[in-house]
Amino acid sequence: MASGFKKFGRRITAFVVFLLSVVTLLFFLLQLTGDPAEVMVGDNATPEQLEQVRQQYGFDKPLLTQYALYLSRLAVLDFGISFADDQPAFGLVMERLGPTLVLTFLSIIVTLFISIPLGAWLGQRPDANSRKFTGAFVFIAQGVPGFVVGLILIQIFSVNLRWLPSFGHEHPLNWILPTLTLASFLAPKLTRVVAANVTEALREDYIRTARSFGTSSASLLWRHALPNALLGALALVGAQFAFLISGAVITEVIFAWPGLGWLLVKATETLDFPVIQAAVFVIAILVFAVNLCTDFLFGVIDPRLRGNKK
Amino acid sequence: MSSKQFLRHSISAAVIATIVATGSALSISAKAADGSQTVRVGVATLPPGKGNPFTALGSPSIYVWAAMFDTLTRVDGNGIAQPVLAIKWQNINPKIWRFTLRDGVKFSNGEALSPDAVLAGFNYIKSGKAGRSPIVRELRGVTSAKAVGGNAVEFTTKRPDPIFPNRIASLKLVAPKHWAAKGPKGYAAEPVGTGPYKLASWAANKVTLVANENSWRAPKAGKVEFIELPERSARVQALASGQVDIAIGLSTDNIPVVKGSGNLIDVRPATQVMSLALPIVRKNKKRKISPLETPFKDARVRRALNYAVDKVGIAKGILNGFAKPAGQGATPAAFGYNPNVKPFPYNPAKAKALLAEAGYPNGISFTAEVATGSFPGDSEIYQKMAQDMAKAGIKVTLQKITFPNWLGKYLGRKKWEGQAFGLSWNTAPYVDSIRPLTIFSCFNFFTFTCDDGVKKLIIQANGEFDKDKRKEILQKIHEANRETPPAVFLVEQIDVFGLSSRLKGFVQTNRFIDYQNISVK
Repeated sequence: MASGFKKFGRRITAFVVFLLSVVTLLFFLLQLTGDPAEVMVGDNATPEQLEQVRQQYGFDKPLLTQYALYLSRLAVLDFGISFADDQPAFGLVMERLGPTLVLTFLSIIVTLFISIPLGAWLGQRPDANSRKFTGAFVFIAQGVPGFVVGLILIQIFSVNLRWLPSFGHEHPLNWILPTLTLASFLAPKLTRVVAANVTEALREDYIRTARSFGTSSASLLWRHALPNALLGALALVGAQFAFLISGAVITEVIFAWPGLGWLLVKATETLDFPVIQAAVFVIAILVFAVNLCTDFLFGVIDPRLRGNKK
Repeated sequence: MSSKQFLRHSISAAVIATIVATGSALSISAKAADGSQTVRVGVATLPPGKGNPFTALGSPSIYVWAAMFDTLTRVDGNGIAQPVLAIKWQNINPKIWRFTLRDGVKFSNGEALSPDAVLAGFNYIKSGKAGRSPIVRELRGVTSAKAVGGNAVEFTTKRPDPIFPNRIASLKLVAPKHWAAKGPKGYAAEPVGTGPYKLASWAANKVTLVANENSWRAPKAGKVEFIELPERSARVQALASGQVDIAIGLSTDNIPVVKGSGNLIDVRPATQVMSLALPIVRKNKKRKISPLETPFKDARVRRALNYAVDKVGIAKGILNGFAKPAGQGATPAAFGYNPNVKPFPYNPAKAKALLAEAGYPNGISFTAEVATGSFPGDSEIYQKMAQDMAKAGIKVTLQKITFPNWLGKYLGRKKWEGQAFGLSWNTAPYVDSIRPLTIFSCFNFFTFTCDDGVKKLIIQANGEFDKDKRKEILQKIHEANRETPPAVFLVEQIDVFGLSSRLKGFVQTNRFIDYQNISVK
């Protein structure tokens, strides 16, 4: 128990150092992208107006002074005011976090729902013709960009059939198409990983032993092989989760889903530094949390990874 | 249970669970349950400043704010100011304009329209606290405003300003007591205007407005919803599927899809002319103009570049015939547009001859820095331009840059790496040729061109109150720019709106939509 707390403490310390490095690097890198005063005031600006805006927002202060002020405000999660929206940047990010998490969780759940049974089925008898055909389809599906699937789904279900809405996020009906779009992108990869791991697990000695004791095929697959196969898949799920938090931009744009990814893209285009910094900060924390959960789940699934020594 | 059976059952369960969890399939309908009409508008982005009407000018914010706010005047399709909340105006003396306000107008919170409403916004713009507002720039020639008897307001300008009624169209009127109580940030969250609609809710990607029963221009539909759909194809699909009634900011490529889905298209000339600027001067920090060492300093070279581009081909091929080739820095809707100044015809042989005459028998080469994504087909237009020029021995290397990068170079903070750059000649918000002609002249700190003859004409135009004489002067400037073009004028840009076949009463002028007339069948 004590060693567990120590390990956790070390992880947290490392994360704080990492976070500080990220926000520092980001702060200085952003200065290279352009002058936000110019973007705010536009192409008809006078030099006087530019100077006024720079003073108003503190851009005229020495860089290190700006950095020190930035760090002091960071301690109370004050990222300043969005240059574009004039609203607290952190508030804007938190407003978008909910929809992002909803879409992320839904997509992961649907992906698991598809990938685990399908992967197990494919991996059980990979040489069977039906499996080969399905496997080939999954392989091809992996190469189809998610946004293409999204546009096709919209065309079929929104435009032609008028069954489902193509944008919005308030109603559960709004969740279907973007979730399926993301799942179509994530599921093929995960399916193939699960399938390969299941095939490998079924070749292990302990499976042969269990079979010799008369264990049924279904039991061999679901109780013995699959839990071992899921270890490798779990790492991928964690990575996909982390990707979805900020990387589902195209899906968010196509479906007008008010998520973090699209907010970050817009903020980058308009050099909205406070929003960029707040978004990256929140994403970094979420990714850390996901990695932590993944490691914890590893320990749950495989006792060998719990770190207990006799 | 075998694995086959398990898989079958799993899939069935998943499908059933999905359908049950999300309810029965609903048809996507426009009519609200209570029988009020709702007009749904798909926009690329909602106003970043929310309900603070001083944070932006023009699109995209105008599409939402036109439903909530009014101005003293509005500029029509011919560049002439028309009465809105001001019913008449007089030029008391060359530097004073008096505007008489409309009687009986109320804001959505019940406050009556009065000179205080004008002064509230004007004083904020002049206070120094609205530094980043584009309206500050538009009204920088105005020194003061005051209420006078007879429900009127007087503005005093630094210099005589014959187009002040057009310029004041950029100032939206706010409810003065509400503005004083809430301040800019509070007003952004709780806007109050005299327009046909008032705010019901403002979410991350949707704004809902309801009918303003106090409005002097009463609406037909009970509600308007603005939905943020950043992706153009998403707006097209939303229109095609009946989820929106108006899709703003489409492209000519979308027209067949929109028409194919039984909907309608509204294509109007925008207020911008797309061009490639050919810098010949630069102003230093001491505001001294110095000439650049460039082939463009010879007007024959600049004319040659204009002859080298097939503008008709661009308008027909890339913009599908919906746009027109440009010959000057204004569109026909702008006051002072010269219909006799035609676009340079496509003549690569003449381009080569002019270059040879100017001392470049083997042609020239240069780099052009362009920011794209603002207009339909702009990337393809620049590429076609470069291809056409190559046939005339002009080698153009196109360098695509981001808009912030473009701004940094245009405003002088960074140096241009190329010798030419993409530029939009925009007559909005007051739809008068004088705007881009002045911005791109010796008068502007960030100028790239300076012609003394044009400078004199601009001074004349700025002091001429007779409309016909003023028009003549502006047209002369366009003629002069034909002779010594400051840019390669490419096309007059267009605005493409997709409209539901159920929509009635859609009218827009210079991107201002008259929402009070709109209803759905």
